[in-house]
Amino acid sequence: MDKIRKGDECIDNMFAAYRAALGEFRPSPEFLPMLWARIESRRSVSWFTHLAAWSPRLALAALAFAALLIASLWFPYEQSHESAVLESSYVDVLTLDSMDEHDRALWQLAENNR
Amino acid sequence: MLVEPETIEFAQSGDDSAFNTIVLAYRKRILGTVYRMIGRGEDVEDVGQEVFVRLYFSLKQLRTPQVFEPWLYRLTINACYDYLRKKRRMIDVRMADLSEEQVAAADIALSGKKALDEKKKESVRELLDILLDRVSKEDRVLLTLKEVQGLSLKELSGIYEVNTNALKVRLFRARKRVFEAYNEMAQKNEV
Repeated sequence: MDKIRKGDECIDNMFAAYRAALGEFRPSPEFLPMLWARIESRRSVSWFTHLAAWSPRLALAALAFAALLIASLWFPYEQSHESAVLESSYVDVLTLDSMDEHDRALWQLAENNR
Repeated sequence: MLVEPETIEFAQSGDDSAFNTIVLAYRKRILGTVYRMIGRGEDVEDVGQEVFVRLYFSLKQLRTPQVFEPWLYRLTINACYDYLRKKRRMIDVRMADLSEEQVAAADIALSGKKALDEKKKESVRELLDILLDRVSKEDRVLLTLKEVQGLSLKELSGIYEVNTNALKVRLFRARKRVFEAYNEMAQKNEV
């Protein structure tokens, strides 16, 4: 018990001497200007960091868009009823227009089999 | 608190002049804490600036201005940890390697004498620096905050977010390790 108390006393004395020996720290007049310079430099770094973090995603999005563009140019329009009409002659369109639904379907079938 | 809660709120909303007010109010306290924790005057401003830079970029995360001070202390402790981790000197100083002045300083420090001349003060600083380098950075920071900075257990409890009983145990162990480090050095020197 005495040993513990003595140890405690030693540590207390040691830290008291250390406290007295350290004294006060006086900041230099350059502290604030240097701090703001550091904040400014970190600010621009953080902007670049954000950009760097987003750049892979942006690159991926650009690639996907390019792939879609290429695909849309590569594959022709789907052969639909409308496209068949667009490729028909003026006379064919007039004929189609004057037909009723049933005749139009038959005509379209014949056209497709031709 | 050294500033009004409104000042902290203004700074949180991006008001640089409010942030400047905070820096001016806390500069002395933070630099003093850093100085006591790292023990090297030449790096104090560098670490202190790092604390305020971190404060600037993380201030928006603070939930309420009421917890500002413990939070600022935590930032300070973390900046000191980072510094000590980077700059920790791999010293294996034995008492035999110490100068006669440092050995005398150990006696003075242990005797509890308060009035020391500059040379002896320097020796006490070096001795404690060596002793604190021999324990973990966690022990060093905790002991510095309690024994040198003079923070109460309640204040420490707010900073570390643990109850005071757990802190008392940590402090007891940290003090014991410093004393053991001193004894080890003293035995090797046959003091």
